[in-house]
Formats: sequence, C-alpha cells, structure tokens
Amino acid sequence: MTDLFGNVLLGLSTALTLTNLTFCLIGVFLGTLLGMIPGIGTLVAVSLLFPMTYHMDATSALVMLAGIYYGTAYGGSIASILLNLPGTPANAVACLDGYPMSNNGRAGVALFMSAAGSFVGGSFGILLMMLFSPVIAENALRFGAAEFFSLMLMGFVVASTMSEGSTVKGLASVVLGVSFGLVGTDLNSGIWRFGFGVLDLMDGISLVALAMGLFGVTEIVFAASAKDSGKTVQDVSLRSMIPTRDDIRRSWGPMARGSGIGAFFGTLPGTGGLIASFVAYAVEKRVAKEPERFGKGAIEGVVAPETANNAADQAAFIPTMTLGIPGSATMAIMLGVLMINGITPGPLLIKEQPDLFWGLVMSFWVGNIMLLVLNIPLIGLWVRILKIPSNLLYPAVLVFVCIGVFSVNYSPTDIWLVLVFAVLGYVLRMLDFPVAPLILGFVLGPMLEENFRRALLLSNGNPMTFFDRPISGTIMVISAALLVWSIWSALRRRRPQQQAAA
Amino acid sequence: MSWISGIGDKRSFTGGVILLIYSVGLVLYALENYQLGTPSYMGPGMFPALVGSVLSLLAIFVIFNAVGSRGTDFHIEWRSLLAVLGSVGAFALLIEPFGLIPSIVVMTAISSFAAERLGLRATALLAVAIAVLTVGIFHYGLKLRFEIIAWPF
Repeated sequence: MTDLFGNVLLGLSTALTLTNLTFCLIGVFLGTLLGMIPGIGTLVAVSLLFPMTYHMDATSALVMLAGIYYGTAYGGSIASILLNLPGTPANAVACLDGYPMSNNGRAGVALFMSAAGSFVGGSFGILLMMLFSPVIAENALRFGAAEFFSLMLMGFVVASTMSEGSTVKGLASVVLGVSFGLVGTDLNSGIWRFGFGVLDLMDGISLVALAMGLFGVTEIVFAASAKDSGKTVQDVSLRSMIPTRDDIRRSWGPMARGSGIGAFFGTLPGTGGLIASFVAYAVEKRVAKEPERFGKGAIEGVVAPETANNAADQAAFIPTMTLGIPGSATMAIMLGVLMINGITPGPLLIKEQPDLFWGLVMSFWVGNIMLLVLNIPLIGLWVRILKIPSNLLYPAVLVFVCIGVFSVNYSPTDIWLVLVFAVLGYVLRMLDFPVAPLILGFVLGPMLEENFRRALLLSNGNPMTFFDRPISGTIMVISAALLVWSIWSALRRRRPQQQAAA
Repeated sequence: MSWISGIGDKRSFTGGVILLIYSVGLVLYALENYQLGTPSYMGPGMFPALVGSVLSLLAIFVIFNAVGSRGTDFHIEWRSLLAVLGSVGAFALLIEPFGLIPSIVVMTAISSFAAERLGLRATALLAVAIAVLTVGIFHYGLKLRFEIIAWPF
C-alpha cells in the first residue's frame, strides 16, 4: 500500500509540471474540438496530431495524445446530444436519448451528466490501471518470445473477430498491415528489404504517413462528400446545465454499471469504447423499471454509454503498457509514439521507467479533471464552433495534415506516402474491408517477426514450441477456439439467408 | 464479362483477387531476392514468404466466400475524392520549390471543391486565414524550419 502511495506521489510530481499540464490542456482542448467534427473520430484525431509529438519528449507527447484520446470521446458526445450526429462512432448510442433530451430543452443537463459520467468512468479505469498494471507486468516478466508471439496472434484474432464485417477480411487486413511492416532494414541480417531503391524507405514506412493517409485523409473524403445536415444548434446556458435531484438519483446506477462494463471491454483487445457503450445502453434498458422511457430522453441512456466508453478508453491502456500489446488501432499509434522516442512498452517499463508510467497514469487523472473543468464553462464556445459550416473546416484540417507530416522529416516523400495510403484506404473501404486492423498489424509486425525468429531459434526450429509451453499453448488454444467460433457463427448466419433467397 | 454476374458479393471478390495477386507477388519477390535460411536460423526472406503465404490463403477464403454471398453496390464520390487527393498531391509538389504560403493557398483552392462549393471570396478569405494561422503556429509558435515563401527560378 505504501508502494502505491509512493508511486502516486512520483506520478503527481511528473504530471504536475507546468510543461505537462500545458500539454495535457492542449490535448484535451484539441481532442474535444476534433471530436465534435462529425467524421473525425479518436483514431483520426490522434493520427492528425501525432506529428506534433515528434517535437516533444516521450512523457509530454503521451500526455498530450492521451488528452486528445479522451477529449474526442467527450467532444463526440457534445455533437451527439446537440446535433443528433455522433462525433465519433462510440458516441452513437448517446444520440438515442441525448438528442430527445435536447429537444425537450434539457441539453444542458445531458451535457453536464455526460461529463460527470465520463469523469467517473475514466477514474474507474485509472484506478484499475493503478491496481493491476504492476501485477500483470510482474507476471508477464516470465513470458518468453513464444508467449509474446502467441499473445500478438491472439490480439490479431480478437481484433478481426470484433471489427465490423467478416473475420476473414479482418484477418486479411491485419496480415496486409504486417506485410507493410516488413519494409525497411532487417534487424538480424542488416539487409534492406522491400526498399525498391527509395532511400526514404530505409527505416521502414513512416507510421505517421500511414495512419494519416489511411484514416485522416480518407475520412475527410467521406465526411466532405456527406451532405451538410443544416440542423440548427440550440444555445446552452450554464444555468440550464444544473441537474435536478431526480437526475442525480437516477444516474448513480448507470455510472456504476457503465464503469464496470466499460472497464471489462476496454481490457479485451480489439473491442473498446464502441462495443462497451452499446452493451451499457442495452443493460440499462434491461434493468430499468420503466424501459419505455428510453429513446425519449432518459438520462440513464446518456450517462451509461458515456461512462462506459470513457472507462473502456482508459482500461485499454492496461494491456498496451504492461504487455506492450495494443488492443486497438488507437493504442497501436500510442505504442508507436513511445517506440519513436526509444521506449518499448512491456513488462519492464514500470520497473525501469516508473516516472514515465506513473506520470502518465496521474496525468490521465489530471486530464479527466481538466475535461470536466474545461467543458462546463466552455460549453458556449463549443456550441459556437458547432455552428461553423463544415466546408470551411475540411481544407483547414487537410493543410494541418500535410504540414504535420512534412514537419517530421522535411521530406516530400512522406506526403506522397500519405497520398498512396489515402488511395489504399479508400479502395479498402470501397471493397468493404475493415481498415483499423491494418494498423495493428503494421505496428506489431516487426515485433511479431522478432519474437517468431527468437522463439524458433531457442527451440532449434521446432514450431511445437508455441504449443508445448503451457502459457503460450493456452493462448494459442483460446485464439484457435475464437477463430473457429467466429467462422462457424458466420456460416450459420449465412445459411438461413441463402435458403430465404432460393 | 458475364461470369461476373454470377458472383454475389463483387466488392469482396475484387478485394480478394487484388490481395491474392499482391500476396503471390510478395512471396515470389521474397524467394527471388532474399535468403530463406533454416527454421532455427531464419534468413531475411523466411518471414516475408510466410506472411505472403498466409495472406494468399486468406485471399482465397475471401474469394470463395464472395461467390456465395450477396453484397451491396457502391458509388464513388469522384469530386470529393479528387479534390482531397489533388490538394495533398499539390502540397507534395509545391512545398519544396515554393514554400509554405503558396502551397497552402493552392491546397485550399483545390480542396474547397471537396464539400459544398464556397464562393471565390470565401475561398480566398479561408486561404488567408489558414495561412496566417499555420505560419503563426508552426513557424513562430513551434519554431519549425519551414521556408515560408520561396522562388525557385
């Protein structure tokens, strides 16, 4: 217990430096801003602002990105409640009761309670991270190359089964990402692979260019071609945000259940806020005494999913930081930021760089408090920004994308790569392939190869090593079972359809 | 091309075929150019060849699946697509010879075609606003070494 206390103090001393506080504030502000723009979700926002972190040290960079990460979740709920347009997919459920509340003149209360729920959910995720990360890391120290290889495979399988569309396509997308990760110098032999004579590819494909092209630019194409909704935004006064006693009484349960549901889905690889928010909403409707209130402006229907998606966002950091295995594409980018700064997340991180780890955890808390403090008084500003026509925003976002990417290496090649990956992202989406798993494969690809080669070196080339070792074997069996189950259930779903068609 | 009409899910089918060509190419290129080595001492070609093989298996799965199932059609928003991609390409071409401000102006002009049209005046005002903002943030704020304006001739 004294250990934990010491760690909290260590973390606070890192998080509360003026530099980190400033970056946290900037991150939360920019995150909220980008989250409100429909079409720009967490992944896009994090990739857009990723280049800026090249000019910072690792802790500040991560603190800012984390601020952006949960800022977008909150910003998204503002757009859901006021416009009925989810700013990010994870906020889609908040539209169901948030927009009706707004039509009943209770937008202020919905916004306030969603901020409060986000704070509670986020805090719960942080608590879990503080309590369990050291334990998980301690156990993971016994993992060898074989275990890490099978863990990464499991991450791939879960990410593909959980992503929208078919599992096989999700897996294909992951493996395509792994193949892009092959470009660059092979660490074991020093041979330059798949360079095709382009010198700028010597260190591999730039993660910034890949993420920016696949998500940033492609998303803008889709968002810009969508028709402007032309909805009017109502003004929200500070006074109207004060919840009634009844609102508060109704919200305790959803906050508690939302926190639990969110944390559970957050720690699973490949799931995250989107699924957590849907499940939390469904659970609230199930346990409610008057389920008919849902969809007509029930406060529980706003609080539960918003609490859950923030809890999930926080909890997702646990596997990323303790095992070095990101559960989602956004977490894969966070991992990329650390690796660019020469830090490899994994079981050793907490021991070797406690100031970074605990500083990050504490700044999550600071960030969540800032979110609460920033968003309630600034609501007038957010409402005004929502009124800006979107066709003014997209050119500005594009300019920022290009300058951001260019500023990393001052090389036009990186901009051309953005263009190539934007085309690829568009084609993949047109052909109905999920794009998010690709980035997971890309970031983990080099680690996958390294552990694969090391495991087989240690076992004298015997591939049974992945199944003989108890931990690795168990993980492999779980992954195989998941794969078989998801393919089987897809086939079963297809059969009745075909009969209906015949 | 009448045989294509027998395929239910054309989008997945096309994707599967593209992936198959890509992955077979990957395997062949790895075999041709890099050493395989042995399982215990793998050469630089082994892992790429394996990745390519796994991907080609998945691609075959996708193709088979696509034949039997039904899919939806898609249409491409050419104007948004070309405006956005064109503006990024313009930036890549202009940033080194001409510097920041001319690149931003051209980029704004091209990308303004992506969404509902702005008027000429609004586009010009927007370009000025973005240029002032970015030069302020990136040049004076973050002190990045951008050429603000340049003339190559």
